[in-house]
Amino acid sequence: MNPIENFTVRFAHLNSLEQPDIQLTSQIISEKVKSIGNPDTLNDLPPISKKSDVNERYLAVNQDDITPWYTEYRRLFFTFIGVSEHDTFDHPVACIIAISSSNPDLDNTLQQLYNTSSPAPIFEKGFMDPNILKYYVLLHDNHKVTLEHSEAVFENMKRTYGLNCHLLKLNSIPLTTPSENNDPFSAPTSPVKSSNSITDIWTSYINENNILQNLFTTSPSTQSTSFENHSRQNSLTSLSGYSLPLSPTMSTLSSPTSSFNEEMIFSKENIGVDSQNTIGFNLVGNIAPPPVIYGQYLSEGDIVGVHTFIGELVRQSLVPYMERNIRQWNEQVASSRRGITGRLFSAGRRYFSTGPKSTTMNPQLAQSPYVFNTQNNNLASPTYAHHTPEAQMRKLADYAFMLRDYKFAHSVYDTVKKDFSADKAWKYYAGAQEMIGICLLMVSTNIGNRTDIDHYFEQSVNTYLNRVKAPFYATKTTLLYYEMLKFRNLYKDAPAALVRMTGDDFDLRSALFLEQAALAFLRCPRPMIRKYAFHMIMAGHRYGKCNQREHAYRCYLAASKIFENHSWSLVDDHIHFALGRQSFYLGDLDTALKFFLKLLRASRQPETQQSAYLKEFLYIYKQYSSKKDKDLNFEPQELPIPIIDSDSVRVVLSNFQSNEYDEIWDIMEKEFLEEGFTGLDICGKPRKKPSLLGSDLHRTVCAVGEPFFVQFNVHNPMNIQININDLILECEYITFEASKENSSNSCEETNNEELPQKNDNTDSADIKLIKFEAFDLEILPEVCLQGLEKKTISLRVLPKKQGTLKVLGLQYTLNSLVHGIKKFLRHGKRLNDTKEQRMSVIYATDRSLDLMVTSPMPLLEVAFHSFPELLFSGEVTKVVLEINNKGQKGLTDLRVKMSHPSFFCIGNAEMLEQKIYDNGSLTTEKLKIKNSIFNSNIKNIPLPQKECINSNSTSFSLSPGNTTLIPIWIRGDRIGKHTFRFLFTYESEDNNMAMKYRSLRYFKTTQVLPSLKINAFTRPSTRGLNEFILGIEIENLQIDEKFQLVQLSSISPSWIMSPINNESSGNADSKSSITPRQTIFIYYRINRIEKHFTNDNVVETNSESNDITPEIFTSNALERLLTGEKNLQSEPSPVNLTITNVPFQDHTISNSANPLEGFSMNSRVQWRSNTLISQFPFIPSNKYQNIFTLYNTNDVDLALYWSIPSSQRQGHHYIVGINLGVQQNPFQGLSISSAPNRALFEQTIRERALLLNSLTKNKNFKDDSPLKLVIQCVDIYEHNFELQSFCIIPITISIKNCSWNKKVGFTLEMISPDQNETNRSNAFHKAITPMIFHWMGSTFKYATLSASEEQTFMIKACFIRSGVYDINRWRLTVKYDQNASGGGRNESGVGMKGYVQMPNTPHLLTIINAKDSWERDQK
Amino acid sequence: MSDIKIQSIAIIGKQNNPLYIKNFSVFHPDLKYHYIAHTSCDVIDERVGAAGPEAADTYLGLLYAMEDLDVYGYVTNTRVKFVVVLSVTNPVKNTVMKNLFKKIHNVYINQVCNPFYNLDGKKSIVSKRFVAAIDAIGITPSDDDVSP
Repeated sequence: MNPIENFTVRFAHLNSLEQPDIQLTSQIISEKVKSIGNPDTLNDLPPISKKSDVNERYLAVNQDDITPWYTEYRRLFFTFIGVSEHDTFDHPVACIIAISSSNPDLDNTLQQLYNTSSPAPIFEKGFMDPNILKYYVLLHDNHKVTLEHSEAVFENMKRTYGLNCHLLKLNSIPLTTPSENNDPFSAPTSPVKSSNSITDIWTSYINENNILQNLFTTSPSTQSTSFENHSRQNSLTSLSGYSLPLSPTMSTLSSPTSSFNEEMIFSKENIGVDSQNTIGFNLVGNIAPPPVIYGQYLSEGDIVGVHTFIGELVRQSLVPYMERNIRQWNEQVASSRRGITGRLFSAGRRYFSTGPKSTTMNPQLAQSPYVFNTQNNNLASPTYAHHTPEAQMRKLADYAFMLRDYKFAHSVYDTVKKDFSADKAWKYYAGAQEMIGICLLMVSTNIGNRTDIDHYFEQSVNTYLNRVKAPFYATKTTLLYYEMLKFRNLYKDAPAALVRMTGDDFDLRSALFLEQAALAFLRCPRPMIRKYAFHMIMAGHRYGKCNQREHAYRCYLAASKIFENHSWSLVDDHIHFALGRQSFYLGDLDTALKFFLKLLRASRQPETQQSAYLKEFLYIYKQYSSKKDKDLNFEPQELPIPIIDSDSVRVVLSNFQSNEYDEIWDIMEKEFLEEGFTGLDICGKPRKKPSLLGSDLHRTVCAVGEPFFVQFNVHNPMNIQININDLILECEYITFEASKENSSNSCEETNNEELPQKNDNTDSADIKLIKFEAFDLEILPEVCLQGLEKKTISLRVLPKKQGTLKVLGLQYTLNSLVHGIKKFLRHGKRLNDTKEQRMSVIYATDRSLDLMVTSPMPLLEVAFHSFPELLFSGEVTKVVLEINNKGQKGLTDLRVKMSHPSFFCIGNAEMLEQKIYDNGSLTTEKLKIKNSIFNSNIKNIPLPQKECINSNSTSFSLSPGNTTLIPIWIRGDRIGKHTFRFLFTYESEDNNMAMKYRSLRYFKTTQVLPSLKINAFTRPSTRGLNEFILGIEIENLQIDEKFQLVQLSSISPSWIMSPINNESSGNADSKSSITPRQTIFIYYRINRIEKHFTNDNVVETNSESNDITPEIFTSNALERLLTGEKNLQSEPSPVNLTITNVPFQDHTISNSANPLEGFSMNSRVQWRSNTLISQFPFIPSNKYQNIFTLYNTNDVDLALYWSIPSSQRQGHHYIVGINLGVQQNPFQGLSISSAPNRALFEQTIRERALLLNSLTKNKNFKDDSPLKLVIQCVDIYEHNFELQSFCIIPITISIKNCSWNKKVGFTLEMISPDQNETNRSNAFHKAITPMIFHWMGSTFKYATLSASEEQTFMIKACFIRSGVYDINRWRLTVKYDQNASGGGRNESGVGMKGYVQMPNTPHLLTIINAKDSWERDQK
Repeated sequence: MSDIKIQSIAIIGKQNNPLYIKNFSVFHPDLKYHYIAHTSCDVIDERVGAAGPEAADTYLGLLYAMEDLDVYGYVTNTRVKFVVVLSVTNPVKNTVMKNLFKKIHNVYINQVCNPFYNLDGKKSIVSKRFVAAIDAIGITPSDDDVSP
């Protein structure tokens, strides 16, 4: 036989072999399991949330350490296993009878101690063999009797009882006391511990036993077993504890050999300090046992003695005894059964017997406490007495197993199994199956056919469960199987085995098993975390059912880690609900609420489920709040519902207009900042440019006393209705000083500090305001949100103190119970400046909810009355602008920047009643205006003059609460759909440092329809040098409107207009009305203003010292620009405009009255700036007003007035920018060389060169010849060629230098037609055969003309025949003299420029032969 | 042939997120099938992993049995998993199951062909057409055989 290592023996008191009451034990077990919390080992490990979490470190931890409650359960389970009839592992193998050598009547006592005639009650049941090995131990205590005496007694014993005897020497009093001291009860105060380890083990074991004992005795169902307990206690405290150091605990399957221990019953006598039974009884019998320390006086020698005793017992008596038995039973029973005869015999026995003959025991045995529901069984389970062959076979197998002959044991089990099966002794059968499985697991080195083994266990468990109804043993089987699988690292099979046992009502066991199964999934070769999670949840469910709240919570929590963030929302909800419930039961309301809050969200749960969640949440919250109300630090918390869209949160100021963020407004504001603060304000003080206008992007500014609104969207994600009550904003007020110091010394206003005055405050009773020190907040009593509903809520805030007001969030009460708070989390623009910002998503901090409260301000409100939605192009209507100051202070310096300035003309309050087209009588009006290009975008809006408080200054302002009306005329300047944007700015009367200007955005839309299409063209008149013919083509673009022309006006500094012929008024009507789709032409003559006007002007200009013409001004300014002079601050001198009105009908429209003047100026400015931009792209537009003039001398603007009589519309069109002068580059200054080429930077040089180039070689300006030439003579000349063969006609040639600055030299050559005929390209001359005539006298003329000088020559032409002659035959060679023009600067004559001019239109002269005519007359 | 009783059809994304889980059973709550579908991911992972990188067959067969339910699995080449839960009646032929899965796969392919469908999204499928098609499969299983 192989040597057996780690042979373990178990000791128990004979009376305690019975299985304790199963209800009681399970109660004890559940108490114990409940008391064990999470082990410390788990704290180091991260929770399992993904596969990679199951790492080496996790696997290195022993599973028993992860779940100590299971370990404890398993230990207790095997502790309370008790004996059963169907296996003999808990049957005693041997019996130790111990007696003290001091006993006077040794023999008798021994007889009494083991009396075969009256054995322990356990034997009475018959299945246990009372004939077991008896082993006698004589205890010797040196302090009681002498060694000699003991040895003598021992010799005596040996003689009586044979070899199975032992003398054990023990010490019962402290070693410090002299050994002669015989008093055993002189307990020393400080016992010397001979061996700490031993005493410690004793202590722990005994303490635990005491606890168990208490549980037994205190529980009400234990009265019946109280006596047993006493004796049990005895035995438990005996050597079974001592066996601990010798071997691992019996339930530890660390090595296969130690798994099944031999039973040794050490009965009747304690081996301890107390050599007397009575003392032991008394001590342990106490319900609250005193802290007696057993074995504390054992000396080293004693321990060695005990070792020897056990060794001797096992080696010399126990194993030989068992081997003897095995041999005997094998020969007597087993071999006979194995043979054919044996089989036949057994078969015959089976068939010929009437029933299970082996049911020798009395029937109540069948109702042993371990077998449930026996009545349920159709036949009572048979029980074999110990002497029946089946029982002996089983015992044989068990002994073989204990001695580790697994193969033999297996074969015996296999044999006897068939008998059990045939006898329908299912309990025995299940036990045999179980043992076969175990044997197989023990034997096989490599587990090939695991399904087979599993099959045995499954059968065993199923039999136990279904046939025997003994789940206790099924549990035992499963536990053993699981532990063996664990030991062999076969975790993959474990869950199936464990889950088999979870079907019934034993929730704690099921929970434990499910948890083990879950953990086993993690230890599979491939960790299966989802199965783990699923089983954890099932375990949690079962734990919850059996009131193991903490374990349930732990399981759910572990599982929730797996499901986290994997969008298994239904599962998430379930887990969170379970976790919330469990923590509520555990009394952890905070955690419970935390989990319930997770449930309040958009989910796929049906409505009923959601409302159940909500109801439960509210219930828990009620508990929570009633508990927490006592504590003062009751903070509202963030609730998941309703959802507040943080992006939608915005502050709506009371003067807010445009909803959407619009770049155009930004551009307009920026432009306003640049342009609007250069001049002087209305009081003559220079405007101070503010850094920002009105509301900038980063800071919202509001004024004291002006309510603003905080607007946001709330959304109910659930399917059920929720109510939100008492909505109030959470704001924070910081005084200016605090905000400057940047300290967080803020006085936050929360609900707790609600001031008592809570009354209806404002005009409407609906709005409730809660008053705080620095602001009032509106409280909204109730908002009801249906399922999935979205609502926009607007809450009013009234700031009352200057400083900073931060809107932090929203406080509310959910369903009138739960105080919730929602912080507004807004972020600003996404930053994109640096690389890091581009790589990641970084947002600027948002300050839109961080308001600055300034002192009271005026607040503008505007409204347009009768604003047209539809306009004809050119139509003018009047709109009334209502200006209202709703603020607290006077409003002043109101200005407006318009996106379409040419459309509008702003009048005065007095002009409200004024007609647009006022009747005037003057046909010629004179106007003197500033000739600078003013910025037409920004207009002042006249405000009523204030009743003078301080006499020295007249201020125009609108006092609070007042309203004024301003007429504004709108003209459809351009066709199309327009959005007119108005940016009003204004300031307070008081100087407000924080907010100098306020602005208001306003916009209106109008559509402008086409009306008339007008073309104008001019042609030089042949009548004189300074005369033009103006033709206007007017087309009616409308389909059904008839236009009536009213008047044509010209506006020019130096030209006037007159009708070509004064037609009768009757005819005029037909000429002045245009039916739809018709075009008409009208012609006018344009003359230069008569000389005396000019003289007048000259006189006037002389009186004003430095009056220069626009051209000179521009040229000088450009020159200064080129030389890089910084100081361009000069203004052109005013210009006198002459307006000629040519009415079509009787009445005349005065052009100089305001709306019309304004419009004409507007359109002029608009046109002028636009042309300048295209002509001088290099000159920045903000310099225009210092370089260019509004009108040049020869500019003519036309205005055509019309009306539509049918629809009472009237309007006018402008034709702007007719220049009747010669074309000339406005830059007439220095040439290139004179430009300074010294500059500090190359960049500047290049820019300068570019500028110069653009000026001198501007493609838009080609200098034309400044000379104009006109030939004048009679049209028809009658000459009698018979009288005089040569007809000589004087022809006047006028030449004018139209340049304003140039002195010009010219050569005029008169050309006869016969000469260079071929050169002529004029088509006219080609078509008509040239009639030859001759110039008389000198055909060359040299002269010099200074600027604006005019010369007239008389030249004679000689005709020899009658006919029609083109006398426009000349060539003019023009030469500049720049020396003369440049004012004698450093010029040589190199820069002379020349032109050659030729006539381009014929001037026809008809020569009639007088004789012919005379002859004709004769006839 | 048509005696199989489909309890649930689940489509699970490649990140093991639920795309669509339909419960055809009246006895069990949705939650149960969610758990089953989730748990089958483990088994599918194991099967697919065991088969190596070039998985020959997309049909994985019976994944596991739970109580009275059989769970069958199928995985597409893009690692989208289909799980069908049957109530245990008679042994089901593999061809029947294969056809069933093929049908589900076709429905899923139709869904994926929608250019507006976000393949990598974790949102569940809400397409009406898809839902209707899955319903049709679940209610009348393999009445008409799909020619393979």
